[in-house]
Amino acid sequence: MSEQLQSHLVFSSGNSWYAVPADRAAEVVSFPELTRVPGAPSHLLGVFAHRGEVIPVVDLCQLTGDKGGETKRAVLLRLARGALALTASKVAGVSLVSGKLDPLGAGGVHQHLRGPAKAAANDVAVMDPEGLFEFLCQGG
Amino acid sequence: MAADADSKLGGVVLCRAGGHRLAFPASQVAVIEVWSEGGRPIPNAREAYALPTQPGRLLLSDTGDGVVVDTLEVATESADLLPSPRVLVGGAGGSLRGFLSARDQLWPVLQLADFSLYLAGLEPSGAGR
Repeated sequence: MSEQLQSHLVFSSGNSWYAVPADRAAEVVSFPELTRVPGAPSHLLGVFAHRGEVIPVVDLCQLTGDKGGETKRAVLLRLARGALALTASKVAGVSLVSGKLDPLGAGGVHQHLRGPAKAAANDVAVMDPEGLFEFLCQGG
Repeated sequence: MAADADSKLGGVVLCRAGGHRLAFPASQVAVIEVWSEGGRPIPNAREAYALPTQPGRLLLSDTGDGVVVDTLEVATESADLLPSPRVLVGGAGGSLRGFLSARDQLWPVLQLADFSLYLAGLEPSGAGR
């Protein structure tokens, strides 16, 4: 079933494009040198201080098994239970998303990515940010 | 956010292990000694970053739990403990207390004894033991 969705921020990480509800995307940030956290999973690149808050940076490429180069930019999500920064190679801007909302996988991170969908002329995976956040809280 | 958002640290031991930063509350450190390969079998903080061990300094708690780090300095000024992001709560075997902003950088603050136990569980037959 095709659906017209609310406004989403569309961005890429590595070779893949993602769409996250615009009201959850607080800003796009350039992050400084990160502080690694001992024992953290490899997709959790580290943390940085942002306006008095400690923000974790998640490498979407490592999380999803995609290929991608290094980036110092991230989309900062503000959710009810906390903040999270997701690495971003390119940011296409805010766009309406159309398509399906079927989970792109039965387990792991892909159950929190939905599609197939299109936005800003790209095939995108529509992110369920709250689900992704809970997934990461459980160790990813 | 973690529960101890408004905690104050009365002093910390700022450490480095393989270029990474980590800190321990000074109140938890009873002894600081030089440590070399073949010395007493104590977990090395480098193991948390999958790095080979090397000689350094040994921090011991009053319960005898210890961690070896590359270098350290003692910061006596009090500082605010910044809460851990929720995705990191329970990190490093539950030893992560929060973060400290010092020397214009962010440092993870760890419970010394718990971090020692966490490291010991990583690789029981690891180098430097």
